[in-house]
Amino acid sequence: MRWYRSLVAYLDERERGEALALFRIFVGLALVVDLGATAPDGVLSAIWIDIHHGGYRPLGFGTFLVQALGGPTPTVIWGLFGATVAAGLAMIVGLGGRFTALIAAQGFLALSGLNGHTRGSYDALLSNLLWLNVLANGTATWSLDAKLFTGRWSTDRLVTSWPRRLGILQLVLLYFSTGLHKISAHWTPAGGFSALYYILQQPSWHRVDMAWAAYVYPLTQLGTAITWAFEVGAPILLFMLWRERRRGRRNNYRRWFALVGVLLHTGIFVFMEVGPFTVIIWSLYLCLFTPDEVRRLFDATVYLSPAEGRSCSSA
Amino acid sequence: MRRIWRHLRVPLVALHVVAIGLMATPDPGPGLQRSAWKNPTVQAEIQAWAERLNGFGVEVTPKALEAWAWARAKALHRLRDRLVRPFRPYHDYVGIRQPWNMFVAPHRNPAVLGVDILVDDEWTPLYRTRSDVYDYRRAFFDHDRIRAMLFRYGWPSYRHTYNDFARWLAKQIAVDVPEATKARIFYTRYRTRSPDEVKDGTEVKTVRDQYVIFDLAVFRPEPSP
Repeated sequence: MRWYRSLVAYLDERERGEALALFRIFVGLALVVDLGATAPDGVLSAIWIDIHHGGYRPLGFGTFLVQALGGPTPTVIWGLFGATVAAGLAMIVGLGGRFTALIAAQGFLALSGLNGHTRGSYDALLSNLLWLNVLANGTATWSLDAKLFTGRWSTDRLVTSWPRRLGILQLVLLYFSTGLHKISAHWTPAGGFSALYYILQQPSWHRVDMAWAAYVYPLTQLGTAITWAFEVGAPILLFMLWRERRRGRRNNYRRWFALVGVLLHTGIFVFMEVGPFTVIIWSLYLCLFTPDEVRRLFDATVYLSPAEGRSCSSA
Repeated sequence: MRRIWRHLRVPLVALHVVAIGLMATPDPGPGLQRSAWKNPTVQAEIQAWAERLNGFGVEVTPKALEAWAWARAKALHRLRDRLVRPFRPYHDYVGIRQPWNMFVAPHRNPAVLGVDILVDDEWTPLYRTRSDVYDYRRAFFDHDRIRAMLFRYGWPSYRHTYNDFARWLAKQIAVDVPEATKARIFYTRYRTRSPDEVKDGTEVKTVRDQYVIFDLAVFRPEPSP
């Protein structure tokens, strides 16, 4: 039962709360941005309210929470929208701990699940990250909760590391799964690595007309190959983190992974309109960094002085 | 209490890991529609893979490959469904679905929405996808949820809900454009150009379909006597 004792000890490991606090702030921000964008221009009323009350299609009784509240009527939907956005704002400032994360998670799940035809993968990703915030103690520091309970915005309180590690696992699963789904010949040499070029020609997703990509076609081929290899090779990150832990010294793989991933999503953000996906996935990248690294970055940018005496933790 | 929690946490975290791991396995279910497989984009994929396999010495026709892929996809979908079923309540009530089938294949034959209105017995363009000229409710149509929806409605399996949307849109037009007497909503399909075709300036043929025409008078209140 040595493995079991190791597992118990692994799940009991603790670290300072900065990384999870930053994760909480970004997820709250992503939620507010995502939902906030549906309010103007009549999008929310059209897609999440039943046809009998002004929406464009029948939504039945709606998701279980909407059903419990009385169905997809304007009062219920706008009320739920308000409560969820308020919970998202509370997450940003760090008020209410896991409880506000739970309200945000359930509110978002109820709204985004109402109309499957207007849903994107980013909805599922955001739901997952909200649930991780329910599991994690994200308001131990850099939060209104910390200020209320200790009198300071920043505390040294330790939190369990496993929710952040579940975030890393989620990131790897997302990439690996999406890589396995890419069965089109266009993603492989059989289709000349032309997937990225042709995706950029789809009017549903591009930001501006991308016909000019024809003149840099070899670059799009390289981008296709890198994207596919990065996604399918994502589990290597888990192996390298395990190796890092076993050897007790850092390797640079995690940073290279983050660099390639962030560049990839920056490219997507610049050339394509895929909703709040980029913001949401960037918040998941924060889980790759230890609290010491987050703290060092914070100190370097805010106080312009190095951090001292931080506890050591592994990714 | 803390001692008990340390041990209780192990199966709970394990449950979460197994649940998201199983849910992340590729699910061919959303694409298992015969009508969708008839789309030129899908047919071109099957053709490309058949040619590649023939190149490797595996003799297979596109038709045989399609039949094989359909059977395997159904079997995989059934197996995955059985494995995932016990975790379904956890996925559904907590929101940990893992639908990562993103950009599985580029859509070589996209369909874009267009709207015309009849004013003084003449059809005039009101909206064209991503047009800066015919930009009726542009902010609405440009929202990512609406773009995702319109992308889906270009596929035949969504025809019924497309009609619901077209009817809703006609109601909005009846209010927003009082001079219009009719509205016609449709999709324009075309094949995306290859890099060489773009450089040569080759034009591609466009086809309009999924026409729905509405008399806008039915959506306007009767004038009071």
